[in-house]
Amino acid sequence: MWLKGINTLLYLFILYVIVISFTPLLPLYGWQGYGSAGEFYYTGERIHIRYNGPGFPNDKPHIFIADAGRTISLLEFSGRHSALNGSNLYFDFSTKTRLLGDKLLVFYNSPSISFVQVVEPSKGNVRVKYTCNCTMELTLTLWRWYFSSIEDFDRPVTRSLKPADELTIKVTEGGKTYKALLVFSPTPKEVKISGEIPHGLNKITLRFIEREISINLVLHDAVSDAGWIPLIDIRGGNHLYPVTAVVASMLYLMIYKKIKGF
Amino acid sequence: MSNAGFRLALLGAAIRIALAPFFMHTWDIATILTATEQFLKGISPYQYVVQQARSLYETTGLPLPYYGFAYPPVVLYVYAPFYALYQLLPGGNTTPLVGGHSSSYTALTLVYPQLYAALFSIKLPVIITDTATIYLLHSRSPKAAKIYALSPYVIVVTSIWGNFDPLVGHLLLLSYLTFKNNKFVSGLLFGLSTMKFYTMVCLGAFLHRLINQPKQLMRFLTGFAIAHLPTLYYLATDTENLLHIVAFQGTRPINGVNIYYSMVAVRGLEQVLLLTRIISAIFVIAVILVSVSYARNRVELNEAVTGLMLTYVVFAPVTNEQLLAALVPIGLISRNFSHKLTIFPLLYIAFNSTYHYFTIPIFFSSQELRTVWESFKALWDLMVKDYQLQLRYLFGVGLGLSAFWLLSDTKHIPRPVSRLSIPFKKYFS
Repeated sequence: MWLKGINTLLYLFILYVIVISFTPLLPLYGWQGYGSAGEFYYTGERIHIRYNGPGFPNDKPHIFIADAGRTISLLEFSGRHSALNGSNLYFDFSTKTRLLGDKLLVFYNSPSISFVQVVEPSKGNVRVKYTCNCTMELTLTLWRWYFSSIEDFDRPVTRSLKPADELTIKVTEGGKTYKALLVFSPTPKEVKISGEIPHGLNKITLRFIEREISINLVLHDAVSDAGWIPLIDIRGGNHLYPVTAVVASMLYLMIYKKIKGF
Repeated sequence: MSNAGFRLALLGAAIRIALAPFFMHTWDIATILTATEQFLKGISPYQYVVQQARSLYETTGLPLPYYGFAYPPVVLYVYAPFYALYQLLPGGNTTPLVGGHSSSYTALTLVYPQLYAALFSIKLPVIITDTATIYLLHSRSPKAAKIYALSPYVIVVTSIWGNFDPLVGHLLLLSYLTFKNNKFVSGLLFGLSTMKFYTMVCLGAFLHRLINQPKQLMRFLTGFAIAHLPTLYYLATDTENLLHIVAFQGTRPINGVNIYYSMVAVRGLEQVLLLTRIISAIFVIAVILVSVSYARNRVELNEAVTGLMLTYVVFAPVTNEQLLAALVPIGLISRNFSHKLTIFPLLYIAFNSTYHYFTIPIFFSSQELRTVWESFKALWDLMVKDYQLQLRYLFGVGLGLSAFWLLSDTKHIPRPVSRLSIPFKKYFS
């Protein structure tokens, strides 16, 4: 046995390292508060969501697809490039966040109006709802670097789309194309898409006028474009931690044995 | 005075001085500047940190830690004269960095050229002690001194990052060098080295040598206590806030370049805190076992201190990238240490803080340069996004396994017969 001669303490330590490496695979679901910046994170079977802390203007929220242990960016709601009645959602408001069951409530502080954002995930969809105590003009920007297509458009040309209740977005990652449907209530007054040459489309701008606005993101099944490649694609997956620990430990033991001459 | 040692120390100082004004770890420098400024104004930095933590709780409804100034107050006495020096310069009444704890895109404000002067001033105490470390090492091992003087890792921590772990390492080295001849001075220097709490793990290496010498033990402990007079003062006058800081350091969630890094992927503060408590218990047991083992095997003091610091590197729940800088000076004159360990935190930095983060003082000086920086950052983030956490973990495992190797080798080293060579010995005896 090639491990013969290696001392018990070393065995125990290697075992310790490997056991710890499995902790990211613990099946923890639901909303969790996290980090020194006051970030929230939702872990679901198919969807992950990050909601950044008050010091950061992006990811308000950021929705990810969970696929085979990986998280793939799908759509980001920006605070920096969104506005309520002309006031910037990030620069002109302070916020308080609270968890209420499965919902994350974000209260925007303003002396004159009451404005609340609710992020409510479920198995295959995320509803982001905005409620105001008066009729509001809300401009939202949704980002992704980069969409493979929005509706049937894939070229990074700024264009206005005919306002509708739904908008289809597609993103491609690791040989798979993921499709999601954005369902609006009410219908936005304006829908504009734009991008960066030569990369692709990266921005959706929506303008609503209403007291209550809801955007429901519904995830569709992914389509594989690259045959067997996605099966071995483990980029960013939590499975990589135990794989790393086991491979590093084996290499370590081999080198140890060679140098120590056991 | 050795000419070769002096020349090497000057070279080490020159490299560090040339880099110091132009780089920074924005968050950490903001922490040091804010705390020092508050201290000079007579405001308690601990009160500020506790207020921020409460504000975070108020904002989120969760007991999240706030990573502000969380060190014993002796650090403030080190930085205050140098920051006061900056304040005496033309334009020195301006705070050179605002919003360092928020998004660099939206809230960070840097004032030029004051920022360069402030960075130089605030890094100067560590550059001075680095220079002294090189000289001290040279008198014992010219090779060790050369490694320290030119170590990319130490230079990064001192001059690029701007943290004070090398100062902690200098004090730990001095404490060891003076231990033989003056227990009071050794205790004082060891006490000062606990300005970052982690050197406390070395206490057993000193105490077991004094346990049968009550007078010497008292001298050592008196020196230690005097080093902590500022802590005692704050404990008496600002009890609740100081205890909050101590509690924060004792319970902060797992992070850093270590074997536990995979746990950052465990979601949930409560779950992570529970895991941290379990790991902290294992860490405390490991420190006790190693201390007892070294005492029984009569391991030399420098190697016992190095071994206990390695125990920290292997088992502690939080081991920031800069930590090894406190171990390098004494490690370089110990046989259970290899400077090659520093490769792991150097690689880790590239995927955690990132090296371009340190260049903010240069690239935020004009809009054109800032645009270049932001484009590079976006590109880097895109390139590493799929692997960065796993790579950090890989480097953490690499450091943990390598440090464990050195640690497990310590007990096999026979007791050396050579005597210590102590520079400036007459001043310490």
